[in-house]
Amino acid sequence: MKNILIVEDDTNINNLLKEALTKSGYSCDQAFSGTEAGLLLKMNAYALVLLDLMLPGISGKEVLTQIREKGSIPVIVLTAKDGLDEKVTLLTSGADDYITKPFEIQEVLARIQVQLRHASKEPEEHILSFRDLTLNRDTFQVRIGQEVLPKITKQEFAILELLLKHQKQVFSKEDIFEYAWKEPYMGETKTLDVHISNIRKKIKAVTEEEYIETVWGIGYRLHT
Amino acid sequence: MKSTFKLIRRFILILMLSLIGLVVINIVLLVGLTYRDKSNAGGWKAAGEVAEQLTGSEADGFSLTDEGRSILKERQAWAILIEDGTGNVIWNSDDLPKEVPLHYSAAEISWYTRGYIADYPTTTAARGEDLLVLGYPKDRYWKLMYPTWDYHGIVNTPKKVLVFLVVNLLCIISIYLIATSGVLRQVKPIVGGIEALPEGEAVYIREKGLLSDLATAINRVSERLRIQERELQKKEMARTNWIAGVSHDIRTPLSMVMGYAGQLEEDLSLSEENRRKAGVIRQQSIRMKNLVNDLNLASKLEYHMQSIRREMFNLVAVVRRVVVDFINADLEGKYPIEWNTSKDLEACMIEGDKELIRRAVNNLILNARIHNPKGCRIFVELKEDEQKAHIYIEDDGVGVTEEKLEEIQNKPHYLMNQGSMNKQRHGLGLLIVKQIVEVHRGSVCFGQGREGGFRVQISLEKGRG
Repeated sequence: MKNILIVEDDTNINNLLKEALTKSGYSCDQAFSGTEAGLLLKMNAYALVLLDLMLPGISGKEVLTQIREKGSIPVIVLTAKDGLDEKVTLLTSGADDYITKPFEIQEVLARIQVQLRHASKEPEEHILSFRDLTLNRDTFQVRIGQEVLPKITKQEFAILELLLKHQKQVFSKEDIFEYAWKEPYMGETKTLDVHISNIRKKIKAVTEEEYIETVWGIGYRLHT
Repeated sequence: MKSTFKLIRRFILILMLSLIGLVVINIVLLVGLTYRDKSNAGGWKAAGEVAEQLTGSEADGFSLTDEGRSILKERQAWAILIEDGTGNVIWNSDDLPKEVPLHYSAAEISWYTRGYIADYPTTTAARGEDLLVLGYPKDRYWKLMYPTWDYHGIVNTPKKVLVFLVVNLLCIISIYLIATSGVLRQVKPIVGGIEALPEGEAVYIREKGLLSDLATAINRVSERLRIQERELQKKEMARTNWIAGVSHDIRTPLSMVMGYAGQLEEDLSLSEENRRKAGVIRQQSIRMKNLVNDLNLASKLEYHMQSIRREMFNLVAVVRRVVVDFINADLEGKYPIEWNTSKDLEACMIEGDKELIRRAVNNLILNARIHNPKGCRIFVELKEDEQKAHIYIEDDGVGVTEEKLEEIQNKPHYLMNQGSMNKQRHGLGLLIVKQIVEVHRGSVCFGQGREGGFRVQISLEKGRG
C-alpha cells in the first residue's frame, strides 16, 4: 500500500483528502503544520507528498526545499492562488505538479496516480497494444497480429507509442512533433505528414484496416 | 518644443510689422510737420522780383512799383541797390535800418551776397550791372555760410544711407534676439513642463527668474497629480487585493463542497435521486470555482496588476492545443470542433503572453459550450495578413440577438461600472477575452455567425522577427 503524506493546515480539507485517499486504497499520514511535516518526513518514508503552500510556522515552500534536499519524492502542491505566474514559479521550484483549490477529488486522485507511476520507475508497460497492433518497447518492434512491420524508424515508433499510450485522445501536431523529435514545433507539418503516411503505408502492407485517423488540420489519433 | 517655435515665429512677425509701421509713421510725420516749410523759403526769388519791380535809373531817380513794395512789406524786408564799380548804395527802401552801411567794398559784397549785413540775413539779385540786396528780419532765415561739400561725399550718399539702414536693422534685430532669447529661456522650461504634465511624468522646474511663480504653480500641479495617482493606485491595489482575498477565502470551503459532493455522487449506497442531486451540487460548485478564478483575473487585468510575460510564440500551436484539449474533453461528442485554418498556415509568430492568449481562446470555446447546452458545432479559423493574425471562433448554436450583441460590445461590465447591478449582464468570460486582447493591443469583434451562432474575431499584431 502506497504511503502518502498530506500537509494541509485546514483540518476539514486535510480530513477530506485523507478520507478520499484512504477510500482509494492509499494509506495516509496527516500533518497540519510545516514543523509536523518535517518530523513525519524524517521518521517515515512516503511515496508522495500533497503539500499546501500556506502553512503556519515553516512555510510550504520551505518544506518543499527540505524534501528536495533529501530526495526525489514526488510532491503535488495545493494552492489557493490561481495566479498564472504562480504556476511557473511552483514548477521551477521543485514541485512535480500543482492543483489549485477548489479541486475535484477525481482530479487529485488522477494526478496522484500519474505522479506515482512516474516515480515508481517501473518501466511503463513494456507492451502497448491497440486492436491487433502491438508495440514492444524493449525490442522496438511493431506488430500487427504476428506480422512485424519492417523498418520502423525511431520517430515512427515514438509517434505510435504516443498514440497508443492515450488511445482515445487527439494529439495536436505540436504534441506529436515535440514528443517524437524532442524539439519545439515550428510548423514542420510536411515532416510530420510524411512520417504518418509512411506508417500508414507500412500498416497497409499488412492489413486493410485503418489505424491512424487524421483530425483535419489539428492532428491525429487512433482510429476507433 | 513646437510651441516655443510658434512663439519665436510670432515674435519675429511682430518685429517685422512694427518696423514697417515705424517707417510709415515716420514718413507721415515728416511730411506732416514740414509741409508748410518751403525750401529756401523763396528768399532768392523775392530779390529777383524786387529787382525787376525797381524802375528808373540813377540819373532820373529810382522808384519801386506797388507790387515791389508789397513784396517787401509782406516779408518785412528792406532793400538796397549797390552801384557797380563804386560800391555805393544808390537806392534804398524806406525803412532801412540805421546800422546798414551805405558803402561796400568788393570783399564786403562777396560776403553780404551770401550772408548777413549787420546780422540781417540777405539775398541778392542783379539789376543790370548793379546789385540789389534784400535784407530780412533777423529771425527770418538761418543761413549757413560755408556750404561746400566734398564731391564724393554727395555721390556716395545713397550707399552711406544704405549702410546706415543695414547697420541699424542689424542692431535692432540683435537687440531683439538678445531680449527675446532671454524671455524664451525663461519660458522654455515652463512650456516643456506643461507639455510633460499630461504624459503623467513627474515635472520639476527650477523656481527662479522672471516666471518663477508659474514654475511654482506647475510644480505644485505635478506634485498633486502624482499624489492623486498614488492614491488611485493604492485604491486599485486595495480593490484587487480585496477581490483576490475574497476569492482565496472562498476556495477552501468550496473545496469541501466539491470534495464531499463528489464523494456523495459516487456513493452507491445513496439513491439514484440523491446522487443526482449531489452531482448538481458538484457541477454548480465548479461554476462557482470558474467564476472565482475569472473574477480574480478580470480584476487583476482591469487594474494592471496581472504581470504580462512577453515572448514570441506560435499562435497556431497555442490555439490548436486549446482545441485539442476541448476535443479530448468532449467525450459525448456534443461539441465537434472544425479546424478551418488553411493548411499553409502552420506557424504564425506573435509576441505576447502565451498563457493569457490560451485563456482567451479557451474562454471563447467554453462560451460557445455554455450558451449551447444542447450542443453545437464550433468552427475555429486562423488567418494572417501583412501585419496581423486573426482568430475566428464561431458556432452554429443559438446565437445572439442584436441588442445582446450591442450590450456585449459596448456596455461596461458591472465590474467596471459604477451603475447599478440590477440588470443581468453577460458573464466574466467575454470580459476577460476583451481585457486580454486589450493588453496585447489587439482588437476583438463580436458578431453573428454565418450559420446563426455567435462569432468572435480577435486580431493581434504579428511579432517582428
